[in-house]
This record gives sequence, C-alpha cells and structure tokens, in this order.
Amino acid sequence: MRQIMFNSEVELGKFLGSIGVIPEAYQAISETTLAYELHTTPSGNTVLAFSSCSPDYTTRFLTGEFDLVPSKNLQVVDFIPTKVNSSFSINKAAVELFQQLGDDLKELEHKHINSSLIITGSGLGGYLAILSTLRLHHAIDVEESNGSKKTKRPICITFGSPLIGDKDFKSAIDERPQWKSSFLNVVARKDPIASFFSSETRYKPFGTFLFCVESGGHAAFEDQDSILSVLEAMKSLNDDNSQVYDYTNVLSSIRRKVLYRGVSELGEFNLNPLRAGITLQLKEVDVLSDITNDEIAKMEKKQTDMIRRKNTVSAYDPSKKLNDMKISLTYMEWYMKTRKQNGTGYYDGYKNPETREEVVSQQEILKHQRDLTNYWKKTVEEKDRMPQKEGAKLRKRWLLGGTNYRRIIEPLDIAEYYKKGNVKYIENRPDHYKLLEKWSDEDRRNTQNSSEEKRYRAASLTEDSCFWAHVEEASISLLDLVNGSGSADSEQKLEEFESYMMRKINSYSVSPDIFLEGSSLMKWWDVYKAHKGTGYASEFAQYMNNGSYRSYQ
Amino acid sequence: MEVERESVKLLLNDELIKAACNLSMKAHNHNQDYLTNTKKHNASSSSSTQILIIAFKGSLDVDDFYHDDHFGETTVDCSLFPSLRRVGEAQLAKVNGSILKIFQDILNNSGFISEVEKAVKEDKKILFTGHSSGGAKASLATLWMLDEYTRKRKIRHPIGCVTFGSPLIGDRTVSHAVRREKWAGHFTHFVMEHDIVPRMMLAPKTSIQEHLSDILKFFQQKVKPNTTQKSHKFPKFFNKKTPVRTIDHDQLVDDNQAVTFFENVLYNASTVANHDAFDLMEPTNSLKDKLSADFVKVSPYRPFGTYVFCTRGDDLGSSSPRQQLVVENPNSVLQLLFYFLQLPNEDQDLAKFAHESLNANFRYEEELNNNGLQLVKMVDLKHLNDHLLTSDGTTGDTVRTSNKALFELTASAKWCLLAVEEAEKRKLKNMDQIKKSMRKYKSNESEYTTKIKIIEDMLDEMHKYKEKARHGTTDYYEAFKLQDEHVDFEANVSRLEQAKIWDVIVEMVVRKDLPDEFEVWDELVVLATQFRRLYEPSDIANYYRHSKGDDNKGLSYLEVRPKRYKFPQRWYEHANVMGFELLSESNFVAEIEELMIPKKKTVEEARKDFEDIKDKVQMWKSDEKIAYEDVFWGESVLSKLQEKLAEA
Repeated sequence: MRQIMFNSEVELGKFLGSIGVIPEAYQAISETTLAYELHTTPSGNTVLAFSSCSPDYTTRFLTGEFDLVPSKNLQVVDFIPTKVNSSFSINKAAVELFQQLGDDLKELEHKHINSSLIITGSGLGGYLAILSTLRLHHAIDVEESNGSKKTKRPICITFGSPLIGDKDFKSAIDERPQWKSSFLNVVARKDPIASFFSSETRYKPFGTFLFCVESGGHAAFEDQDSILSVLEAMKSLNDDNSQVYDYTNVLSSIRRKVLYRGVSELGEFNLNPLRAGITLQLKEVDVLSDITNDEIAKMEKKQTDMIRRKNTVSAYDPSKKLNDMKISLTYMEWYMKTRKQNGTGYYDGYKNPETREEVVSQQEILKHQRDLTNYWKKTVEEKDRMPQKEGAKLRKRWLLGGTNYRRIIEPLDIAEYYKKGNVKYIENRPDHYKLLEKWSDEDRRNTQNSSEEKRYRAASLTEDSCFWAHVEEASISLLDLVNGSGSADSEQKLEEFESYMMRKINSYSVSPDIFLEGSSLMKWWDVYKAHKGTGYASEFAQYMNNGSYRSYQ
Repeated sequence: MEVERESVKLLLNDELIKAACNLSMKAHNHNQDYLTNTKKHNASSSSSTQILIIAFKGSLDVDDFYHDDHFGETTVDCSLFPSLRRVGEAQLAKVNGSILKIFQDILNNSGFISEVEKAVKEDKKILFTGHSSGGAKASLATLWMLDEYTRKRKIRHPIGCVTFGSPLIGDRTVSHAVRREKWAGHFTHFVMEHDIVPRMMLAPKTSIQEHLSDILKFFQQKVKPNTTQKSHKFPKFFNKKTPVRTIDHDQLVDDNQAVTFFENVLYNASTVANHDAFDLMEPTNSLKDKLSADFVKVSPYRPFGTYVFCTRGDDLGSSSPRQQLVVENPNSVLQLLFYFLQLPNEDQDLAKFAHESLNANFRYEEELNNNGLQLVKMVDLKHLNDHLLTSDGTTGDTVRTSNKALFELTASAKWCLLAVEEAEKRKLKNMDQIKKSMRKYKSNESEYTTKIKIIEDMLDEMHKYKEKARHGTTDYYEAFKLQDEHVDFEANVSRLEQAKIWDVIVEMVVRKDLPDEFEVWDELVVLATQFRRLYEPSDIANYYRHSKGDDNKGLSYLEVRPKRYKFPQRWYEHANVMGFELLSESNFVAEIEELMIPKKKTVEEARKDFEDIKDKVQMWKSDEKIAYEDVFWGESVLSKLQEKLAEA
C-alpha cells in the first residue's frame, strides 16, 4: 500500500507558534537601547539583541540605496566562503552596519562558545543578528576542530529582516548543516521591509521562515521558492506604509491561536494530507488566493521528493558501506598473505603475475580494489570540500581506515603505474592519497604528545605507502648507470635511497615482506651489489651483505 | 475491557470501576496513604473471586508535583523498577521525582507490602486506583508489582490499575517499556475531555508557578468538602492574604488565575504535541531539533497504558450523555490530550472554559455514576482511523456520531493521529525486513532474492568452522587469530557480513525505528544470542590479532566492545530477568587476553582474576540455558595463560 505522506511544516508552524522563545526574543529587542545588549529571558535563555536601526538609515534603505556587493575583499565576512562557494554577494547595508560594530561584539560572541545563545534583531537589525550568528558559528567550528566537545550552537531569530544575500551566500551556509539549521526569520504580512527584495531575483532566502498575519494565522516554510512566493504575495497585499512594523501584537496573536481549534474542516478536504497541508499553510497566512495551483503542485512535488529521498538514502547506508569496505580490505589482506607465501610479495605478484594462480587471484581482488578506491576517493573529496576547520573534526573518525587503505592499495597503483612504463610516480600521485597522508600526519602531530611510541617490531604494513615508488625510481637510476646513461645525479639518488632504506629499517616502519627473495627490492639489490663491486661497504650494503635483513622482523 | 498479559487477567466492569472511583475520592479524606476495600469480582464466568481495591490518596502540595523548577523528573530506582529502561542502551527511565519519593516511602514505611503479599497469598486479585496524583501513585504501584511479581517472581497474579484524572508521571522510556512488556492493558486511565490535571505536567513549573499553589489549594478544598482548613501547608500565603477563607471554591481561584494557568498549560501541551507529531511526519527541517535541544523546554512526560477519554456527546450541553473513546497508542493519547483541551472556537468564554478545566478533575464520580462505563458504546480509536480522512458526507452517520468530539477535531489534528499510525506501520515494515534476513521463511520464498545472506545460514557456517577446527591441532579461536588457511579468511569475511547486518539492526533500535516490543521478540533474542556466542570470540581474536589495544591507547576489547554484542547480551539478560553484566560467556576470552598483556596487572592480581574467570566458566558450563556447542570455552587461551602464570 502506498505510504501516506504528511506536511511536517504544519506541525513546525504550530510548534513555533506555541513556544515563548520567539516573543521573548522580540521583547529583548524592544528593551535594547544600546547598539546591542545581552538579556536574560523569563524562561532562562540568554539573548543577544541588536537594537533596531535608525529610522533615517531604514528610510535610505527603503529608497533602494543599498544593493548587493561582492564579498571579495570584505574582511568582515571573510569567514563565510568555502572551497566550493568561494565568493558571494551580500547587501551593502549589512556589511556597513556590521563593520561599525567593533571587536567588543566579537569578544562578546566568543564568551558564548560554550553556552547557548539566541541572537536576534528586527528589520535591518536582523542583518546584524545573522552576521553575528555566522561569526559565532565559525568561532565554534574552530573551537571544535581543536577538540572541544563543550560547545553550544547559537540560534538566530530575525523579525522582518529583508533578504540579505545571493544564492552563493545561501549555498555557503547550506553547505554547513550546523549553520543552516539555526536561522528562523519571522515575517509579518504587513511588514514592508521584510518583503523589500522579494521580487529582486538575485536575492535568495535561507533558513526557516515563519510567516504570520494579524489574526494569528501562521505557517513555517523552508523551501526557498515557497518562501519567495509567499513573500511576493504578501508584498502585493501591502498597503505600502513605510512604517517600521511592531511585532508585539502579531506575536501575541499567533500564540493565542494555540488556544483555539480553528476551522474543523477544509473546504476541499481530500485524501492527500501532504497537499492539503500545503494548502492549509497558505490559507493560514491569507495568501492562498495569490498562489496558483501549479505552484502548489510544485511545492507538493518538492516535498514528496525530499521525503522519498530521505527514505531511499537510508540513514543506515554509511554503516553498511563501512562494513563493506572492511570486507574488501579483508580480501586484500588475504591476497597479501597468499602472495607472501608465494615468495615474491604482493607488490611484485601484482605487478608481474606469472602463474595461472597468480592471475586468478589478482582477478578476484580487482573488484575489491576498485570498490575501495571509489569509496575513498569519494570520501576524501567530500571531507575536503568541508570548510577547512569543520572538516578536520569529522575526518578523524575515518582516518584509521583511510590510512590502512592507503598502505594496502597504493602499492598496487604504483605497480600498475610502473608496469605501464611511467616514471616519477610521486610527482603524479593521486590527490586523495596525498590528502589522506597529510591529514593522518596532522592528526598524529595533534594527538600524540611528546614522545612518539617507538616500534620494536617490524610493521606488518609498510608505513610509507610510496615505498615501492622509491624502489622503482632507484631501479631506474641503477639501470641508467648500468647502461652508461647515468650521471652523478643518479649516483646521488641511489645514495639517498640507501639512507632512506636504513632510516626505514631502523625505525621498523617497513614490512619484512620487502626482503622476500623475488621482490623488486631484492632484484635491485642484486644488480646494485654487482654494480658497486664487492668492496662496497656502506651501512646499507653491510646490512644486506651480512644477512641482517634476514632477521628483520 | 480486558486486562491481559498471558494468564494475568483482570476483567474490569462497571461496578468495579465505580467502586474504585468512589474509594479513590474517599481516600483523599483519610490520613492513611491508601484505603482498601475487598469486593466480589463477579466476572462473566460463574465463579466469583475476591478482589482487593487499593486506592491511593492524592497529595496536593506544589512539592508533590515538582521537586525542581522545571519538570521534576528523576531517574527511576532500577532496583524497584528493573524493566523501566531501554534494554539495549541500558538507559534508565525517568519518572516524576516527587511521586516516586512518596511511593518509596509507602513501600518502606507502611504495611503496604504485607497487604499486597497477603492478597496474593489469599488469591485475591488486586486493583490499584487513585484520583489525581493518587492515580499517579497507583500507576507506580502497578509498575512495581508487575516487575516484582509478574516478571521477577513469575507469579501470574491478576493486577489492574484504574486512574481518574491522573497527571503524567513517566517519560517516553516508561511508555516504551510498558508497550515492550505488553503491560499497557493493565492500565486504564480515565480522562475527562477538558480536565487540566492530566495535561499539567506538560508544563514546566516556571511557566505555571505563579498560580499553582492557589490552584492546588482549590483542589484540596474540592476533595475535602467537609473539612475546614486544618493543615496550614502554606502559612505564608495565608498570612499575607485574607486570613479567613470561605469554602466558596470558585472564589479561591479568580478568572485571571484560572485563565493564566489554563493558557500556560495549553501552550506547553501544544509544544509537546506538535514536537512529537512533527517527528512522526518524516520531517526534513532540523530547526525544531535545534530549538528543543537547547532553547525550548519540552516536557519529558508521555502517557502510557490505555486511555479512556470521556468526551461530550451529541450536543454541547454538559447534561447530554457522554461518549467514551479508547486509545492505546501513547502518541495518539498525547495528541488528544492537547487537541481535546483546545477551545472549540473563539466565541467561547475563555474564563468559563478555564474554570471548567479545573472543575473537570472532580467530575469523574458523577460521570461514572450517571453514565457508567459504556462498555457497549465505547469506541476504540484504532477502528476510526480509516474514517478520519473522509469528509462529512461520505461516511455513515453511525461512525461519525459514535465519537463526535473526535470527528469535530480540525483536519491537522486528524493528520497527527494518522501520522501516528503511519509511523507504526513503518516500524513494522522495518521489523519485517529484519525478519526476512534472519531465517528462511517458507511461506513467501518468492518474495526475496537469493542474494541476501541469511543470518541463520551464516551461523551454520560458523558452527561448521568451529567444529572443524576442534578436530585439528588448535581451536577455532587460535585458528582465526592466525588466519593461515583459506577457511579462516572465509570465517573472517563471514564475521564482517554478520557485522553488517547486526550493526544496522542495533542502529535501528537506537534510532527507535522499530516497534517497542522488538527487543523482547523471542526469535530475535534466540538468534542474537547464538550469533553473540559464535561470533564474538572471532571479533576478540581479530582485536588482539592486530593488537588494537596498542593503537587504541591501550584500551581493552571490553572497553570498545561493539554494540552488536552489547545489545544482544542485554536482550538475553532481560529476557531471563538477570542483572546486566559486563563479562559473559561470549566475551570472557577478552579478559584472558588482557591478563596476558604484561605490566597491566601484577602476577598476584592476574592469578586471582584467572581463578575468578575459571569459576565463572564452570558456572556458565553448568547453565542449561547456554547451548554448549555455541560457546567458545577458551581452551587454548586458558591453558596459555596458565602456563604463563606458572612461569611468572
């Protein structure tokens, strides 16, 4: 049977109408005489309220004096862009007003990193509340990336604040789920400032909008197109009195509405609660007649899609996927183990499968190798897109798995690379490996205090996932020398490789498998030994000649 | 109405409920904590047995409702109420702290326990009852007895509970536990359509305290009509205001007080009801979660048990016969608690309505005496849901007139009731999915593809692996740890395949995406236990194979034990009414592994722990509930440790 869908925003609207936090925030604004003040509300919340903007400035605003300006070089909002949304446009008035408030405000925000704060403002004061909230969110991101778990996120309530920025501004905020969910914009029908930019297509709303009318009707919307439609409808109903709107009465009306049941049946009551819910919402705020059926159908479709998507992209997928990756990694480990038993090691076994059995087992793991690579490429890409600081925190959980993946799979990529006759892998190394290594190094530096735990036993997985690239490069240099096309540069490279080897051996950070008889390393050594002659007695040569490597474990 | 759990039946009837109601009201006027009365219980069958009615008196001081400024909830005493928790998470329920305290005092001080004990011995059925906060105590007494007698002592004694206008006392975990244990049928809560008391605890004390003491004062006068003010529980109040009070009730609470109180309770009831309804509608907006986490105080209390709403009948006149609506789903009850309290329209006199909501708490006796329990006419909400979406004209009048109050609710209120049902259906669907991954059910084999790995099959494979290793030179634990053979590798993959399934099941439990009774579902507990016993040693072997303790800052396996084993162990322990243990027959190997790590403990300590473990292993071996062949008895590791300790 088809599932019945509902319009949860109907309930959100009722919820918002019933709570005291919203009128309390407005009350705090009314009591604010300085540019901004802290208040404690009767229900015990702390409110940072911005006073309303001067009437002169608001009048200038309403004449259309301030328009969008590009964010480039605007230092006051430089914490908003992300890698993906690197620039945006914002209303000039917002920047100008925010600039006027000094560092004291920033310090005040900072004091509330660990305590929940409601930030509020009405009209153009709402601009300040929005920017202040964003700045505090950013400060919290930084705090959290330093490992703090005590942080509390603020919430922003604006009253009749006009749209503030363009779609890139909205996108930059939507990219951070923590930021996105903390904006509530209350808009009364008769407020001329609130709908000022509603027909200016470059402006885009973000956050949740609570629309209300004098009779107490109210409804909540989050979809930007719905918000714009309602704003536009409200604007057309406006009798254009450019008075600053007082929300006190409308707020008490919407709360009063909780006491009464309202109309018991809708005129066109049908079997689709989702659609009926949307209609009810529009009716609540008296704009139903201004919205076409097509628009309602679009709203319905959008919500249906969102609910469906939520159901198909199940919350359990990440957990399933993680276990799938563990399974693939187990296949890889088994492959490594069997190659070891073959006596060549999995690097060379993969690069030059000789026996039929080797070819078959390589075929078997290819799928797992591919799955792992796709998964980690995607994961790394996602995490990298996260705004720098916020991402760091999320990464930690994945890093252990990522490091394992890198150490097991990257050697196979290297094998493939050199097999095709390419050189200089490290210069062409895929980005996701580079990032995984960088994050893992950063993480180790951050978490390990003074003395890194020393190894006394050989690592089971070679720590440097580019190890085999070093071996391949050393082999190439050696080949050049043997062929007579080498130079002093080749000699130096080989010396460097020797000392690299000794460092790795002494720190036990390579796997004993590298010394398996048929491995590329041992093949290189045989040629190198011959090239250098018997008298050659570097530290590494001695280590190999006297057979110490055999007891490396 | 039948109160049923297995053989524990208590049939309520008109006469019994009237007796309970009368005794509940009477109890207010006595000094004892409760009154008792023995009645003949003439059930429909010919044999009549005796029934002991225990009616708790109400306590009507501010402190008897709120012990703090908010909602006055407190974590439940788990020795008295071991079942009031979420099993997997081992998360204890919360109940009203004041009522709990009073109930504990009754248990400790009065002859309450011996009274109950005596009734059980004499084979008298027991009916707990109470009006207002007396009903809250009756609920606690019933919960206590269900845990103590039905579950712990396995005495199938008929127990029932009937309350009249009782405030809410338990959080959603209580509500969950009651449904999980199938106890809901033991509780019948009568609620007058407009009675304020069952809604009161949805409001934090700060929001209603201004007039709360006056209103409770008014309640006291109402229940003790024949006594003048004797107990001066609010001396300050009396000194300040009029020293001599008449017993004119309506003057005790003026219009302003009644309205303010009513409004604030209703605002908060709205907040809670909308909050929960929103969650049931598959929301995509996260603002509400943010608000209710840090800024809006949402009451923790939720209804549990069966509710009977006494609603107004065909017309608005209070003299018309009332209708009774039976609702079992706590989410639906919550919605109705809110929506029935709303004023029908703005023409209503708010002050009059507010006063009525206070007075309604004293109309139960009258209601039952005039109308009785309308067993025949009583309507179950379950049967009405299908009619909620139809408009006036299309449904037969009988359905609509059978419960006028319900059908007069607004469309959006009805959507909430439907959303409750839809959410239940989704949960059942999830459970069905799990069921399909557990066993091969022959009836509808065609429905699923053969691709899905069935848990049962994997358990068989592990059994075989375990058996095979037993015939070799080493046991399956050691073999698994070495990972030398292809079969070991296969077992490792099987371990992860199982993890994939069970991790999701556990996550579904945590997210409350499964029916309340899921964790006590026999088939699940059996299979999960087998899985735990067969597979946990392999996870432990894997943990110590990689010596993850080193990477994990020296954490032992038990400190990072996966939920897919923790939860099944608690399901098993709950099903067998055992306490929750850390160490079990499936994970003791981890403790042995720890003892083998040098420097963690002194040799003496290790020896002592070793002996303790050996004792426990003996105990588990002799436990007939534990299938011998499912468990890894630790042979190889135990002897290794023994050698090691002998050397030291």
